[in-house]
This record gives sequence, structure tokens and C-alpha cells, in this order.
Amino acid sequence: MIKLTVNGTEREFDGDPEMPLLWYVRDHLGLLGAKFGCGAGLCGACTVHLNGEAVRGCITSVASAENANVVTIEGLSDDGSHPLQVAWSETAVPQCGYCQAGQIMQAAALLNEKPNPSDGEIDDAMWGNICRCGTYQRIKTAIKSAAGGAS
Amino acid sequence: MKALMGLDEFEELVGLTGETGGLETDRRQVVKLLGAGALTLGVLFGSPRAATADTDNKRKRGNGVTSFSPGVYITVHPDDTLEIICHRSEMGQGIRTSMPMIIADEMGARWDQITLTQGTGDPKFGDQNTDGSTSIRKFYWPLRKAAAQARTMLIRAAAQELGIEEAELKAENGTVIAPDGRSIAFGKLTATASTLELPAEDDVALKATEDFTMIGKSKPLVDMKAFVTGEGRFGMDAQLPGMKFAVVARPPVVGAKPVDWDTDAALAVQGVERVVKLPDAEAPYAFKPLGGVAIVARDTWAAMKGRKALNVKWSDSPNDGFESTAYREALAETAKSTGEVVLKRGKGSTVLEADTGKGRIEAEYYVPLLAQSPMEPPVALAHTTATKCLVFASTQDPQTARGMVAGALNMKPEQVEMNITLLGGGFGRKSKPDFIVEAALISKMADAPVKVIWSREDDLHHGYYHAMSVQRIAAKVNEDGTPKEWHHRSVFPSIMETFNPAVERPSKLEVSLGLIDLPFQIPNVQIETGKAKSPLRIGWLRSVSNIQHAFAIGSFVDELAHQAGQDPLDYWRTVIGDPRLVDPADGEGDYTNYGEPMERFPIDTARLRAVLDLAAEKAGWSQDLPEGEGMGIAVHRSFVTYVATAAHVAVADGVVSVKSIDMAVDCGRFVHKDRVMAQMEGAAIYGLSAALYSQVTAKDGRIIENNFDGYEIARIDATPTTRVHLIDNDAEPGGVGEPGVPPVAPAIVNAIFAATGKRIRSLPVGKQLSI
Repeated sequence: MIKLTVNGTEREFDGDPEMPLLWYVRDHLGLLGAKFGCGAGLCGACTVHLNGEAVRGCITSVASAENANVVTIEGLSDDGSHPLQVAWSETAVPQCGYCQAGQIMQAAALLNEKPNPSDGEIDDAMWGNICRCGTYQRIKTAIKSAAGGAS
Repeated sequence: MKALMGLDEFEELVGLTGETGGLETDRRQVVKLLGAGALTLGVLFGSPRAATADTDNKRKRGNGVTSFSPGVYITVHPDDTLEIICHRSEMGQGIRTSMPMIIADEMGARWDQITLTQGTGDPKFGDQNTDGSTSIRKFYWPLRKAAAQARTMLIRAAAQELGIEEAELKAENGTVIAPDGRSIAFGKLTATASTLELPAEDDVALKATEDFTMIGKSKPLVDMKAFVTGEGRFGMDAQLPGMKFAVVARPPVVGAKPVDWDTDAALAVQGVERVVKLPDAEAPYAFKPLGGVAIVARDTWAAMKGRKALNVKWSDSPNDGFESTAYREALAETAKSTGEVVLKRGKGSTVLEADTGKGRIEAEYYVPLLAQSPMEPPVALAHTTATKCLVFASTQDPQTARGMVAGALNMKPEQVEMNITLLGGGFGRKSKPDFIVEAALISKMADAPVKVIWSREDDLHHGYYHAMSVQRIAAKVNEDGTPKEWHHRSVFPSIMETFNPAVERPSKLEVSLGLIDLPFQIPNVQIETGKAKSPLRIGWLRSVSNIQHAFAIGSFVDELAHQAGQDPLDYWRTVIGDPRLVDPADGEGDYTNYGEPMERFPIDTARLRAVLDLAAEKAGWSQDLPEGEGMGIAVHRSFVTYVATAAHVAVADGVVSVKSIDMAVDCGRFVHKDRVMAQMEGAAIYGLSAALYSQVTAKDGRIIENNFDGYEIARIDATPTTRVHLIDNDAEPGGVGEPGVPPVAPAIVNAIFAATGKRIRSLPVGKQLSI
């Protein structure tokens, strides 16, 4: 039995301990915000926070999250009011929207660590998150906007 | 795609795929609708739905209150909500926001009174194939006219109730307003409006451009909050009670069949419930599933683990010998011989073959196989019962999907309910419903709702690829460097072969995508195609054959300019020539013009020249650049829209970085300004990926690239500063989703030449500059 906390709720899981967190939160908890894009940690669509750090849910096993605190996009804010969610809306970042939960979770971890990231730090932190619609320019703008708003 | 085809070509395709009865039936209905735009509207609005005041045209809500519904897209409810049905698929272009903008503006409705419903796949909506950059192009006028009919009837109803002449009244902010200040909300007029006769669509006045309150401006996306909170529901997120999860082991080579597999090993995996074999696929592959063996499990992870345990043995296939390098060589060999002439202007040209004399310039261009790779891989949920199939899918083409599912299940299309989720990107991949049919068949065999999930590897290995192409162009130039002869040969397997194995050269549709619509003022032109057969399923990818044609033509103009010692911008102006309308039919070209009449959507060189000049000006074309930097430009008309791209690159140690891209765009009347800008920003990245990074390759019939480590696409650090310059005019609405892509790759390679003196003729650029 694996115990972990997801978005503030304590959970117990007695299934396959190798199961990636992504499929655990999606198929077993019904938290559908984290998305499947590659299954190999190459695109970032599945990004969630594990004890505050951005991880790829598709290659992080439930077992490795034992006793840990997992936050998905659903737990980032109660009502979409996180500064990044606000900045994302104001900058009109999303096109198809599919990768954006992962982008926002990655950016949130970045801002936790570096409240005012440089362009290079944004590129480094966000490099692993692919957006096939090509919204990168607006992602950079929104991160800077949220960072500026927070400082 | 239907909108891209000539109707006869489409009919031909229908006949060829007619073995699935459902598809044939459904497609013929679509063809009828396509064949006459007016008929579509006639079906929707010409029937006396609003006039008869019976239950057919009134929608009851609560205690017999009357809603007003003058057609399939628009309903005004007594509670003052305006219900709009979006019948086109949302895949990032913003149609779920721009479509209501058209209707609300023309009706005089309030933005906050709109509720949006996604229409299911149904021919009553007209064309739903969200492909070919058609959503605004094909529906701008029908939606405005439908909204104007609704507005006219609401005003007429208010005139009756107020006893005031109709002409005295106007509709604004969701109310009809009288000169004396009295007003009635739309919702209070539904009962009266529903008793009125529907006015003919040509008898209703449309708003003047200067009176627009929404069209041409920007609105927050209706799905924005869902996107940023993770509440948006894509195909991947579809759910039904008791749902199972499935993945499929598909033939690694097209044409192979499963001959042996280990069912017991798969069932031994915790959570795996069933192993089922799909029907083997035979050519033409069309929109059919590829076959293989499916694992049905209680969650996705179990299904994926079960598939690994299956250990399927595959039969040989006629395509086992497919190897992409050898295939390229074969295309290049074909390109050396005279092909089929698809356009001849003046005395034509044979300069590719014969002439080795002075003033002859020649080049060969290559574009590899490409994959659409939307971030959401193909995914569909279906629940098949004895009498019905309920589907939730991220599909670009719900009517075709419905017809294909019906055909596969021996049902009528009416027995299939095709619900459209948000699409996590489409780019042409999700126009093909093979994955949706898989879900319907597996659900039937598993006797449960089943969601079929494609992995990224599945998406790359079993795609409908953008065709590999080799093109040769030669020109004969005058003393001043201007071309007097232009000879272009384009060789690639046709998308049509996927539907008809007898097809062996590019179709009329494909030569109309940036090849025979050459807009240059050159007296003697000859354009040919060469034969090519495909060992893979070929399909359409964002801007389709425009990708290779714009790349070759846009690069070759730059090569001619440098040969002539002229500034490329000036040279582009020279070859475009005088302001005029170009008609490929003058050169006996059979041109489809994206399904639009040439009279209303001409090839206008003045508009082409205008975007070229605008991009150059905004990019600062003539500025001095440091060593190792350069600027390149290209311009292309596709989907009846004109886009010029100026790229500024820096090359250091063999690595290209694109510093900036300026996109100048004339798409005629646009609806949602910010979404047009966003589509162009995205097209810059999509085009940049194809220019610098992406290619699909094959060995022993199998695709080599497995995931985003092998099939590389642009990441955030490759992002140029992208500026979009939108020309605001009242020309007919053109496409937006696709036309930004074609000029990007040639602009980038032209910039690389300016920076380094090295000419890239094969995409992607990859590591070519470091060798």
C-alpha cells in the first residue's frame, strides 16, 4: 500500500507500484489536467509537482511518490487565480491548450525557485515542455508578466 | 480536405472507397452540400422552420416557453441566452470564439448572453471538415446572413409589439431599441419571432464594416479558463461509466499482418482484461484501421504493459524493403526525366533537359517525410452496442468519422453519435478517423466503452505522413538576370494513392497547392509532375504540398537573385512583376484554387507584392548585419491568403539560430485579430521546425524515429522574436491556419545563405552547416 498526498488529499494505492503518476492521477483519481504527450519524459505535457519540484508524471512511478506531496494543475489554485494562470489568460497564450497545464506547472516551479528569471533561465527551465502550436513567445511573455507582478 | 479537392476528384475518391457503405452514404451527402453553398443554406434556412410556428421550429424549455431558432446554429431562449452551436472542431485556431463573434456582431447580441454548444457530427450543419483553412473562409457569409435573418425577425417581432415601423428599430446589446427609448430584450421576443416567416437570406441587410463591434477585433477565448485550470476536455479526457482502456499493437510495416502473439503473457499482466484481434487491413488503406492486436485493460498503464508482453510476430509485407535514402534516390532519378506537363505558358520550356548554354541555372530540392505530431496523439472513446455507437473523439472531420464508424459496424450513420471534444492539436492528422474506427470495433468486441490511446511511438510509426518530395527547377535568364524560361518538375507520391492504389502521380489537388499557381511574370513556363508510388499512408499536413513547393520556388528565386548579383527583395519584385490577376488556366493549368471561384478569390500580384514589401520594411531589410548573420525573404499565396516572411538568422559554429521572423499577412477580412496573429506566430514555429529539425526516416519498411528525441521539433530556446503585420482590408476572407507555414522554410534557408554563403537545398538543415 503506497500512501501519498495529492492536491492536499491523502491517498492510498495498492496497484502496480511501477505505474506512472500520470496514469494514477488520470485513470484512478480522475484528475485529467495533466496530459499524456510522449510517455518518455520528452515533452512535459504531464508535468506535476512532487514535493514542490516539477517532474514528468509519465516517467515518475507512484512508488517513488510514496509519502510525498503531489500537486497537479487542479491543485495549483482554487479558482484559476495563480499569477501564472492570470498571466496566461491576459497574454492569450494557449492555442489548442493541450500542453498548457504542463507548461504552467513547469513555470510555477521555476518561479518558486527564481521569482525573477532571466530569458536564459526561462529557456533552461521550459526547454523540456514542447508546444506544437508554437506558443513559446507568449509563454515567455506570460512568465515575465507573472514574475513582474509577483515582485 | 474536401474543401481542397475539385469536386470530380472528390467524387472519384468516394467511388473508390465505396466498399464501406456508411462512408459512401455519408460522403455523398456531404458532396451534395458542398456542391452548392446556396443549397446548404437552403437546407438550413429555406425550410419554413421558423415560419410554421409548430413544434419543429420552436424549442420548448420549462413550462412550454418558446425559444426562437431560425436555423441550426442560432437559438434565442426566453431567459435571454443566445445559444450558438459551433459545428467546427476547435484545435487551437480559436473557432469556438470567432464563430460566436460573427453571429453576435451581426445580430447585435451581447457577448455575455452567449452559451456555446459543440455540434455533433451531422450533415445538417453543412461542411464540418475542419481542414483546408476553411472555417471562416467558408462560413463567414453564411453565418453573417443567418445572424442577419435572426436579427431581422427579432426586429420585426418588436415592431409588432411596439407598433412601430420596423425601419425605426435597431438591434444592439441584445435588445431591440426604438427611437423613443423603449427597448425589448431578445429573450422577450422569442414567442413572436417564432411565428414570423423566415426572410430570404438575400433580403436581409448586413452590417457595414464600420459598424462592426466584434468582427476584426479580439475577444478572450471562450475556453481560456478551462485551458489554464486543466479543465478543458480533450479526446484524451473523454470518460464513460465502466470505461476500459485500450492500446493496439499495429503492423510495424504497412501491409504486414499479425501471425502469432502471446495472449496468455498479456493477460498475466495485472489489470489486462482482454486481447482482441482487429481485422487485417488491405489497400487502399484510406481511413481504415491498420489492423493488429488490441489490449483492453482497466487502466492505460496496464494496457501499455500488456502490449509489451504480447510479443507479436508479423508477416512479411511488400513494403519491407522501404528505405528512405534509397527512396529519395529513386525520386531524384524520376526527376531527371520528362514528366507529365501540368502547366505550359508561352512556348513552355525544356531547359531542365537540354540547354547547357549561358544563362542556365538549375537546382534540386528535397523535403523529407514529415509527421503532424499534435501534442495529443490520436485518441477516441467509443461505446458500441447492438443498435448504437456513442463516440467522443478529437476529430477534425466528424461526418467522415461517423460514416466510417457506421460502415465498419454495418450501421447507418444515424446510429452513430459523433461527439467532438477539444482537439489537442490536429494539423491534418485528426482528419483521418482510423483511430476512431478502432475504438468502435474494440468496444464492440469488448462489450464495453473503450478508449483507444495512441502512444507517441504509435503516432510516429503509423501515421499519414507528409509525402517525401524531390523537385528540380531550371531557368534560362536574360542578360539582366531576369528569367525568360522556367521549368519545374515536382516528384512525390500523392495523397490520393492512400485512397486508390492506381494513382501514381501528384493529383490536380496537389499541383494546385503552390505549383501551377506560380504568380511570376515569366513568358515561358513549363511545370511537370513525375511518377511516384508510396510504401506508406500519405496524408495532409498543415499547408500540404505548399510546403515543398514554396520551399523550392522560394529558394530558387533567391538563387537566381544571387546569380544575377541582385538584391533578393528587388528580384522578388521583378519576378512578381506588374500588378495583375494570374489565372493558371491561361497556361492550360487545371487549377482548383482551394475550392473558391477565381472571380472572388483571384491570384492578385498586387496583394502578393504588398505583403512582400511590408515584411521587408518591418524586418529592416536593408540594414547592415554583423558577420555570421543574414536576412532572407519569401512570399507565398496559399488557401487564398498572402503571406510574406522575412527571417533574420545568426549562424555560429554550424548552428543556426533564428533571431526574428516578420510575417506580413493579407487574409482579407479577418474575424478574430489576435487569433490570426497567434496562428501566424504558431506557423512560424511549425515552419521553423520543418526547416531546421524534423524528418521521418525508414529502414526495412519501419519508421526509425520513435519519439520527440528522434523526431525533433522546435523548443522554447529556438523561438525567434516573431512579429505579425496584418493588412486590414475588405477582401473576401481567406484561410489563416495553414498559409503562414509555407514561406517560413525558404525565408530561413535564404537567410542562411546570406549569412554563410551556403545554400541548403535539403530539409531539414540539421547538421549540414557543421560539416
